[in-house]
Amino acid sequence: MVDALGRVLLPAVPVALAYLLATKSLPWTRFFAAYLGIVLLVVLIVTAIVGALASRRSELYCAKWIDVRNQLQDRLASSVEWSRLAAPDPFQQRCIEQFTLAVGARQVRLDLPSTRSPRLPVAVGCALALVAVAAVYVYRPASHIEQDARAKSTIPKTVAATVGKQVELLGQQASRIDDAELTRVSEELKTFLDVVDRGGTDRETTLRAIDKIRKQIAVANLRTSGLADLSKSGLTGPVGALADAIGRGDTKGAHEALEQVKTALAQGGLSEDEVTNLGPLLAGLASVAEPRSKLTEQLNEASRLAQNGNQPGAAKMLADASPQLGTLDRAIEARSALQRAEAALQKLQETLNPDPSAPAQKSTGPSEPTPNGKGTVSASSGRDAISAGDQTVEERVLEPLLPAASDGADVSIKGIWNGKVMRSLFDSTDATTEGEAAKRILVDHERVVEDRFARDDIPLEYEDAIRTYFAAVHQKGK
Amino acid sequence: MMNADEEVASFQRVFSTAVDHIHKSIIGQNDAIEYALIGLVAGGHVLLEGAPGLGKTRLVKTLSRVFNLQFSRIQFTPDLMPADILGTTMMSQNDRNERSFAFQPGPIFGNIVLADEVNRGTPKTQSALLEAMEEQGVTIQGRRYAMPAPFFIMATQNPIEMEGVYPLPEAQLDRFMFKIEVAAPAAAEMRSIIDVPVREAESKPLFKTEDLLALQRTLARVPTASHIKDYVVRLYRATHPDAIEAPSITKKYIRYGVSPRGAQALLLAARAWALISGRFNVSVQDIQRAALPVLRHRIIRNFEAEAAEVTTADVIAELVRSVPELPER
Repeated sequence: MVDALGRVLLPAVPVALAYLLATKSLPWTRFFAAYLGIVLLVVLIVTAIVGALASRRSELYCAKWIDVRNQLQDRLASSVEWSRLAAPDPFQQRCIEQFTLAVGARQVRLDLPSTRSPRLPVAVGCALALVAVAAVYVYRPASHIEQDARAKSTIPKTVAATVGKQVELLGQQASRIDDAELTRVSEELKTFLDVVDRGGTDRETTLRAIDKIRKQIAVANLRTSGLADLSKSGLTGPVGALADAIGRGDTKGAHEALEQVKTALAQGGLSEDEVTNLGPLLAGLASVAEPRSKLTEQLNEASRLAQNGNQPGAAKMLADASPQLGTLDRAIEARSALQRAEAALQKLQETLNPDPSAPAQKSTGPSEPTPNGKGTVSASSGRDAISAGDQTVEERVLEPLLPAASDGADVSIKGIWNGKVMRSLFDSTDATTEGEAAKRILVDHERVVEDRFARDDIPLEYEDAIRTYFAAVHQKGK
Repeated sequence: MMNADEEVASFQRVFSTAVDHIHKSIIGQNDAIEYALIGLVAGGHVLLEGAPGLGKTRLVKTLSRVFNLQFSRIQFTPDLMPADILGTTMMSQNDRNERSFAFQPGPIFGNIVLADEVNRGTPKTQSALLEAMEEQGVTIQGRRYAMPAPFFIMATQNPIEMEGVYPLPEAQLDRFMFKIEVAAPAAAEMRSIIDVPVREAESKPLFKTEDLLALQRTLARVPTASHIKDYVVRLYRATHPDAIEAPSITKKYIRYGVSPRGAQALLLAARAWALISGRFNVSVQDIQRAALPVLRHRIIRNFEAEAAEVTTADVIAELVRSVPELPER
């Protein structure tokens, strides 16, 4: 058997290596590689068995071998043959008896054949090589991600309770300020928590649902993106108090801080640094006000005057705008509520995706404003953001960007639809006008491709290449 | 009734005694003596080839005396006629003056027939031996006359004479079980031969004819295992240049291979060697030992072999070396 295996395995190793090389280097071979592998394996096994049966040595052969080896003059082979006869003749009988007696009396020394095949090392080596080839073939770095993605997701009760509380507060806040989008986010979160709590969804579906809600939040956040992270401005004094209150969603505190700012401006008591930072702050408030309203104009003017060092003028402009400042409360509260929802979502995702090497999606919220007022482009828009865990379209969707470079009027984002979100991202970048149509087409195509990826219509080996292609086009567009 | 052990022991004893006795008359020539005895026991015929004066005729005569066999001699000459060998129907007259035709047996009707210098006879005369050698009988004028048992022909031929000789045809050569080349004696043997009287004294027979027939019966009973028969077949096939498994030397130097009769003779000789060795089974070594005298006159070399001076002995040695002893599986 070992001999036959050795004979068969030796040529099987280069065949297996060629097969492995083909499947690794030629993606199209993946379509039939498994079938070919099975056929090759069956051929190998059948050949080994047939070879083993065909090369199996008979009892007579072994006896003759011993005869030759021990110079027994064919007495053993003849005895073996004649011992099978029902009625051996006297000569045959005596031959058997004589040989038996000679062996019993140790008159003949029997040098028996070794049971270890000389092909054993070759057979073992080839078998190990084949196992290695099979292991390399089977090993796919992303496979464990896929397995994880299909595992049922569970959320610890403590996390569920915390998140549930936040969602409840969110719902109350949404109904108080009567914000439809906030209400929808709240409902989505509540439904999602119920479903996950029942344990009926796998990790991939759960992450997909999280991403969907995250996009809803991102879209909702576009309205209040001017207020993004004002609490982290690091300012002190009345300007810092104002930024902090807005960041916390404390409308009352914001009004008080604004009064202080107004007073300080009127007295010219703000430092140059504070005045410099007040400009963007007021511009951010103007961005959440009713577009093209008087309040917007007044806040923008106050911002301009403050930045020009005209503190009394800015104070006067703020004083003029004071009666309408209450209209900003809704935006400030919505911003605060959305931040809470974002935090809840982040906690859920961290619970479901504890692997630090897995792709984090922390940046799916509103983009950070840059000093020049333009939104940053998330790294996930490029190939670098596609890591082993990024298997679904939602996980790799482009981050919503701040529409700071545009006035936002052309962006009509209604509902959550990947293509529209992605289009809005491109529209919000500082791309040239000439490239917009092309980008829209690109995004449309990318969305279709990502949908196909999600449905496993496209072989895994092609995904990277396709994403690289789209990433390259994106880069070129910028 | 002897058992197997006794039969084998008896065979060994008779054979060795006969050999020893013959050695008293013939110095050396072990192969010739042993194969002549084996041929006699196996019921085959032996062709001795050698120069004159090497003791061929003496060997035959001694053999006949050992087993108390009727000896007859035929000296082949070109004018020898078949009737001179086989016998003829002659008119005879009895005491009452009544005449009738009666068959007068020729010299072939003996237990041991010495066909001396057989290649000096014409092919017609040589062919007179064919039926007797194979069929153990002759047919004369439509009537068959059986040979006495045992019937053993020992022919001699002189290899040095090229004129006035008629080489034996292949068909007749094939009927000889052995062809023994009688070599010139070695120096030590020659010193002993000189002291042997030219005219040997008449001696009493050692064994009865019945003893020889008993030996023949014992020989016929020696069993042969299938793997030995397979080996004989492999060796037989190896001598045929048109066989797939024939080795290269066969394809290169052999024109015609061994006949089936040759394979039978090989096995028969091997059986005899097994008994001589005191074994109940035939071994491959027995086959190999008998290969040369059995096959040498049955293998016909081609012109290339003759040109390259490759003898049949060379070919047989190579065949014995190359034919695998082990079965295929």
